[in-house]
Amino acid sequence: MKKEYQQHESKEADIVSDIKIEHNKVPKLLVVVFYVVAIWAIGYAIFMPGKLAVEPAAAPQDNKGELIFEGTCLSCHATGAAPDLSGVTDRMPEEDIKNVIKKGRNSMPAIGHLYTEKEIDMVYEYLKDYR
Amino acid sequence: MFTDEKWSSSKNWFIAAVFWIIIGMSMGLLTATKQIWPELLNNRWFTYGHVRSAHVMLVIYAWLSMAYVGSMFYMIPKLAKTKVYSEKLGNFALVFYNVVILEGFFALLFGQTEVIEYGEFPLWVDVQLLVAIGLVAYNLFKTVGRRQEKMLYVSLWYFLGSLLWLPLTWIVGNFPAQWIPSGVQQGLMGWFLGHNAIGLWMTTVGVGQIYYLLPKLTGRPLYSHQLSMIGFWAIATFYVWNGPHHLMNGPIPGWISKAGVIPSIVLLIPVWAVLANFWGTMKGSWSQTRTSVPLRFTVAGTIFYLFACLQGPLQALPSVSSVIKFTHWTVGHAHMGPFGAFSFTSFAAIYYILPKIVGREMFSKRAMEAHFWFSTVGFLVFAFSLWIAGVVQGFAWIEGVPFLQTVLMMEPYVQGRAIGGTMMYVAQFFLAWNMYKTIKLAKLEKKQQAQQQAASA
Repeated sequence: MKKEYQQHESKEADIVSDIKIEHNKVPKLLVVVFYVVAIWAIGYAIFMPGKLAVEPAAAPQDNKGELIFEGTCLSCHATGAAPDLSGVTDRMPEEDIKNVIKKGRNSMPAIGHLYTEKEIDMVYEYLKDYR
Repeated sequence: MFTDEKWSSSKNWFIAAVFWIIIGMSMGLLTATKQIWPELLNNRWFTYGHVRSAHVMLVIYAWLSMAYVGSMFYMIPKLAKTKVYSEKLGNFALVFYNVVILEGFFALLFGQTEVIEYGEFPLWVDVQLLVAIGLVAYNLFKTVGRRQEKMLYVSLWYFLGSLLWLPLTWIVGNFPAQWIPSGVQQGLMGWFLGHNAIGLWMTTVGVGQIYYLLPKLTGRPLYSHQLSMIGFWAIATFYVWNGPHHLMNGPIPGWISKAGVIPSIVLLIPVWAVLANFWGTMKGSWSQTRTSVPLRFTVAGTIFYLFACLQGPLQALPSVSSVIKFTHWTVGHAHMGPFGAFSFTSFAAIYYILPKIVGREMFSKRAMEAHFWFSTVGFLVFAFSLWIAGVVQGFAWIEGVPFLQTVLMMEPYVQGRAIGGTMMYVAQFFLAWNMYKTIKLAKLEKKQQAQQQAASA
């Protein structure tokens, strides 16, 4: 009963469960693909890290003033809930502006505890160009 | 109580399967629609998370698995040249299996879940489903044990392998995960089930179906015994490793990651071997696909299988994965195997087997054509919407486009997906109606024949 499958060379078809099975050779293209895939696999196993090499995000932070201004200040100062800030650096001295940011004024809350001195400087720098 | 009628298990499993494809796909359509109108059916039972997991579990373990068991209850005895070991047990297992699926369905809608992809049913359902699968496997192994044909045809290797592998993956994926502390380990265990439900059940039974259907439908000999050996053993060896590629670029050790990537690529070997065998068998028979809908379904299934298995290995590569992971692309890919490839071969199996069981042709050829074209065109619209969406989404995230903006960008694609999905869904009604008509008419004709015989005698 085993002999049917061992007749590979003979190229005669077997019949199993009324289904004919031929013994055609594996197409050459497939043999090539098999070898390429096998070699690739060994190479990958030895040489590759298996993960994406990602560099830690070292993005320059020079637009931080803008980010804080748009993310925080504009939620009121662009909606009409608070005065427009364009050209504010012409109207108020630097010290006063920074004080308002830190301690608040009228209905504006104090937000100094949220940012470092340097960040507040950056917001001021941004405000100078905000027209 | 349970009938002993010849081929009744096969027929009844098919009927149940088609019932569940309608329910399962309506859950899928609801999922797609909720992405357009989030407020739709927004109640305690039908929240997005409940409906999505119900859809996934139903189409795989209710529709596809039942269709598989139905075709195995016909193909295995045919290949073994014997009858089913016990039709009664087959029918009992069907009822039991359906009760368990129903329990799982309600458990998911109720909000119970294990949060494992393809293994969402809670533990108390898992145990019962394992028993039901065991009953089916026992019955079919016994059938093969009493075979009259000494040699095992390729399809039988695949069927018997799958009937062992499914319980195995089910146990590994569902049970130890309960005791392992959550985190990466649990994720890896979960993906062992997640990928092997596809690789060692959906794929292997589906490929077995095609190996059976192609020579029968074309009348041509199987192309190469050697290719079928290469295909089977390579799948059996390498597929089981594929789980970790789902956690690609995640917090898993590098060697596990590699142990997931390499077998994923090596899978090109069995896939190409199997397909070369199929298409070698088809040589000279391609024109038959014009007239024979079952053959067309089978061949379309092999083509979708090829595309699924070109995407899959590439997606396992870290660089590709970094773009398309968590995007709509994956959803498109995940539908190609279960729907495009193996639902299609199951449709073919139903159209081939059902007429043989009931002793009458399918009622409507036009309904079969409609079923094919709605399924195919619907699926293509569905899948291409998702693939384009996925690429756009993936690169937008890398560019740092604000997340909410990327959600809005997806609107037309999500709509396209829902339109394609609707066509896929509508197609299944042609199948259900056609089956209903065929079975009903066959019964009627048998009755008339009996009456005529009685009258003439």
